[in-house]
Amino acid sequence: MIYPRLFKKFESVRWNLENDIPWHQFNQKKISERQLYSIKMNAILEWSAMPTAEMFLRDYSHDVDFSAFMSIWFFEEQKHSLALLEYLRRFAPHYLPTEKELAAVRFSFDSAPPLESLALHFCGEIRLNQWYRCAREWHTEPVIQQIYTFLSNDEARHSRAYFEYMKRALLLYNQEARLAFAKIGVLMTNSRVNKAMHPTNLHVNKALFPNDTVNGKLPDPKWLENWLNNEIHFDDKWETKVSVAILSSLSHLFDISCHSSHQLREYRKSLLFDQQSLVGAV
Amino acid sequence: MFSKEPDLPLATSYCLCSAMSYEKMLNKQKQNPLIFTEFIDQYTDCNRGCGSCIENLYTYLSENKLLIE
Repeated sequence: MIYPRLFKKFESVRWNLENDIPWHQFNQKKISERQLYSIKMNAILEWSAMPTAEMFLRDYSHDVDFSAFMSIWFFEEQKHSLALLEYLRRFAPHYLPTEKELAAVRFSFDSAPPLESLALHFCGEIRLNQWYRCAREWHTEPVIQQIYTFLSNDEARHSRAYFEYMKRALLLYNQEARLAFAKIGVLMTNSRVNKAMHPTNLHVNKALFPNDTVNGKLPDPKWLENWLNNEIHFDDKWETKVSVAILSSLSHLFDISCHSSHQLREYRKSLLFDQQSLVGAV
Repeated sequence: MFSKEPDLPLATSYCLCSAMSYEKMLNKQKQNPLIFTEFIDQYTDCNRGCGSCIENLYTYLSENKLLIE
């Protein structure tokens, strides 16, 4: 079981909302209205961990180990939202989202293949880790910079935890897991194939289509794209970090050497070919 | 613990915070060996990052006979 070890590890490095954030160092002159607005939007985005946790608990009802880990993940993601909300409450209360705005990102996700959801969130955490690192560089106010440091480090640890469950899945389901992880890896590293690149951009409820993405439920659905492209400048340099991290991790997992989305697609094709050959032989 | 499944090592081969593979770090250590604390400080971003890799890197260097304490 992975959960007990993860619990210990996570508990040993967990930061405290009240004591570890240097609230007294706040400098009003170093924060702009656009930066405050982005804190509001990120607080709402982090709140969307709620429907994600609900989805995982439902789709992983067969897996008590992973379901138990969800308790840690959900707690920490809600804490991220709370840290950002607390920042706004203290220093810019007019930017605090309403409860209605927070509730808007909680809606039911359709069932999805569990192995694909796992890999999707592994990749999503890697991306979020880099978004927050980039945001920390963009921000100029020391307290919010420290908050983003904590958030980015937490997201890195989360991706590592998801990765541990992927390793276990490979032992349990081998070919099925390889196919699912490679499929998501290709999608999440190739912007030409898929511009979504993060779970909050994906359509998750057919009945609500097209209003069924988390980003679409934000008060300003176009905010994220603008924030990434025109404010924090999450450019090719950052994108490369995301892709390299995903491809390196999957290479390690599959015991292959894979340096591009194209190579990963070729690997997946070879798996499918092997599978079809096997079925043909039977 | 709690299960008959084998315990999986908490290991990977890539450090997200340093944006670097363990192999690359190992090569730096090969070229200019440092004691472990300095290795972490100078060849990785682990001290400013999530810290997950520190234990793994200790083992990794040890296995490759490049650990200096």
